[in-house]
Amino acid sequence: MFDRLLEAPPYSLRQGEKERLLLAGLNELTRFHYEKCPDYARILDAAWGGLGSYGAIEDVPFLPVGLFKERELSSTDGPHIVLQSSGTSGQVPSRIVVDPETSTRQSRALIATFRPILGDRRLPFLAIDTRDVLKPTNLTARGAGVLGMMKFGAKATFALSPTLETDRKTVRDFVAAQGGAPFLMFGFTFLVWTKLYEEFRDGELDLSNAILVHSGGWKKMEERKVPNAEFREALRVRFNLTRIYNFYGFVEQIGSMFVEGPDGLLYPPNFTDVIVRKAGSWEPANLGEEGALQAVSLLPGSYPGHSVLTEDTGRILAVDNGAENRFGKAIAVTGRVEKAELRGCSDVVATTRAA
Amino acid sequence: MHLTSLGLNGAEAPIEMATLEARLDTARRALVTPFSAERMDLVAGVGDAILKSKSAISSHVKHFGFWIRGANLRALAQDFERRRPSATVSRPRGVVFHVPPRNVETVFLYSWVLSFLAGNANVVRLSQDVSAELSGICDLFLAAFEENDDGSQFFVRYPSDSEGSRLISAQSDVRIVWGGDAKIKAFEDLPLRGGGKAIWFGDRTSLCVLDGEKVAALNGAERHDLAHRLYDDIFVFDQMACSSPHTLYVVGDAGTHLAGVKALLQTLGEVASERGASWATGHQISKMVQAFASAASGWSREVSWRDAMLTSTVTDRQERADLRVGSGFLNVVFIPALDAVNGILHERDQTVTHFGFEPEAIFTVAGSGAAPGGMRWTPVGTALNFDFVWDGYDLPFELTRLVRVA
Repeated sequence: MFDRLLEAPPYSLRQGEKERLLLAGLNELTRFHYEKCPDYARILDAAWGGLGSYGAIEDVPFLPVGLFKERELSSTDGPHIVLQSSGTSGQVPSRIVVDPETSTRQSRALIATFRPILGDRRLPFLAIDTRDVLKPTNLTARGAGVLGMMKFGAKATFALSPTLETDRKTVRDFVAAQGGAPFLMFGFTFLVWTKLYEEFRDGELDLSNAILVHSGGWKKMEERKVPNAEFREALRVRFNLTRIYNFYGFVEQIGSMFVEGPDGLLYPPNFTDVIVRKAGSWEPANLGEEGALQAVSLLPGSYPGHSVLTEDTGRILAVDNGAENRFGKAIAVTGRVEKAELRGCSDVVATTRAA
Repeated sequence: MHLTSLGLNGAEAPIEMATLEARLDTARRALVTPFSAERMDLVAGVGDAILKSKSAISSHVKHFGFWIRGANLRALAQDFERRRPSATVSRPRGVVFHVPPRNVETVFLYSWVLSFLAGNANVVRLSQDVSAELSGICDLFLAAFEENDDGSQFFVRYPSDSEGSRLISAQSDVRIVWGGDAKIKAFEDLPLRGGGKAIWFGDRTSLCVLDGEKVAALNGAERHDLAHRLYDDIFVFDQMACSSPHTLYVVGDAGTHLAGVKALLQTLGEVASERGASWATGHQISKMVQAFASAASGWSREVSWRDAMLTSTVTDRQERADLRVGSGFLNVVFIPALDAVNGILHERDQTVTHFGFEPEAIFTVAGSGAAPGGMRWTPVGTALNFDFVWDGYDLPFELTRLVRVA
């Protein structure tokens, strides 16, 4: 099943067919984790009325991603590593148990997702970030992204100093050295904007051979009021950069990346899907309606992360629209769920809006 | 240091610390006797003004308005008088320094009013960002002081990292600090004027005890009424007030009484929705995370998370529940008998709200535990109603001194 979903082009399945195939896999994973992960079994028993066989992917139980900060959920007795990752440094990290099998699935999924964009060869890689972002323990989301994309590149070059100053000479030398051959650039959206676009806004830099993959940092972009369309247009006009791919992913489902299509919308590849839920009732939202994003994926085998409710918000804008042969759901990620400050007698209990 | 003093209509004027010190010293030498008619009338007048206010007022401010009505103040004064030991007269203590909590900011009004009625001079340190509602109440009092030519009451502001707290403490005979442990620690080292006393309102937690039999026997209207009272205890300050309960201890057993408790919780969710409560999506998800984590750990055997207002967990264990999430989150624990509460209470526990027990049973259990904790037993629905006996203090007596006359 997983192989079949992986071998087909990433967005080739119509929604109906995709849901049918995913549902069988998700039911299987739900049963597997129920049997292998005692924490998960207790949650299903206490919160979901026990293990069931679900008739639609909307009915498959989900866990809120914040739970991975509270508990180390494991479905494996074998050798494994625990990935620790936090959105920003200083936050309580999520702990994700990854065994060799799940790791292989993640890698295969990433390759299947990015091959149509990057081709089969490893391209020279320019990270719009500092080498220091790759800390060995407790990776930030930024570090995890750079590390993941490095697998697709050859000889990584870092564009920023440890204090996030743009190393202009390094960038110019790197671009010049490619001599018109394609190369890969990756960075957080906000860093690409402030450290590449704004730094080289006045100079000549030809990035027509670059493939830019970027992600995250939406909040700071929103503060600067730079919508995605404007971001793309600005890079095209300034650098002749047209191959631009935003993606959405998160540590609790590493390997499942929703990549931007030609219409600027994000597409979950065949082995994943997304459900938008209305806060409070947690019922699926209507087409176009904003809500919290739930993601399902066939990748997580060593931890029960195959169906998770994120703290991101978004909307489904099209289903099976066929843009450049992309089918399934097309979504826009709109932000983070809101957290107002709670009052309290004590001066130390106040919770602030999530970062 | 940037010290300002509040005037009418939100006016704020810089004042030198030396000037404030001089005025406090003058005020200390012109105190009035406890529960003077003049001060009682002034406070009652403000109460009337609050209750007659044309603008919408929150329920806790409304409660304050009722609490300072003339009739209530006269009852308070009579009670104080009756309890005064024979061959004594009471006198104010002097200058009282009030440091309100940052969040549930109106709670300090009660201790401040009691100190004012006790005849003291008062200085209140307001935070930089007080609500419009609290500013409005301060305005009413400031206007009344001006009319009565009372120059002994001050509302001030100064930066927290300044010398303000130290200098004002040195001029104060009593200091009342509301807030968490860190805040109390910060004030502990600041000496008061010779012989001064400190009153602390620190971090507290609260709980509720229900008779499972009585809950199960409720009819629809009674259940609805109880749900409204629980709402008042839990939802008014986002469940973050010290006296808001986080756990319902139900005397009985799950097999017999859980259905009744669930019906009550469902009604509570409906009442909360009717009364316009709402939580940010992030809080709803945080509640879901905590409920699921509680299930994962094996503590809860059942969690209810699909109600937008209220998330709840049920455990089979007969032990204290320490999970405090807030914004509509209740743990349900079954206990074999009312007196089991004494084994559950911790030092920091403040209010035990109760439903379904005879007053004698409550008195017996409250009287039988000698361990610290459990400073207040009060019926469900009155958790947030301030009382002059609070956190173990009898405030009118704490804020006055007795003079032996033989």
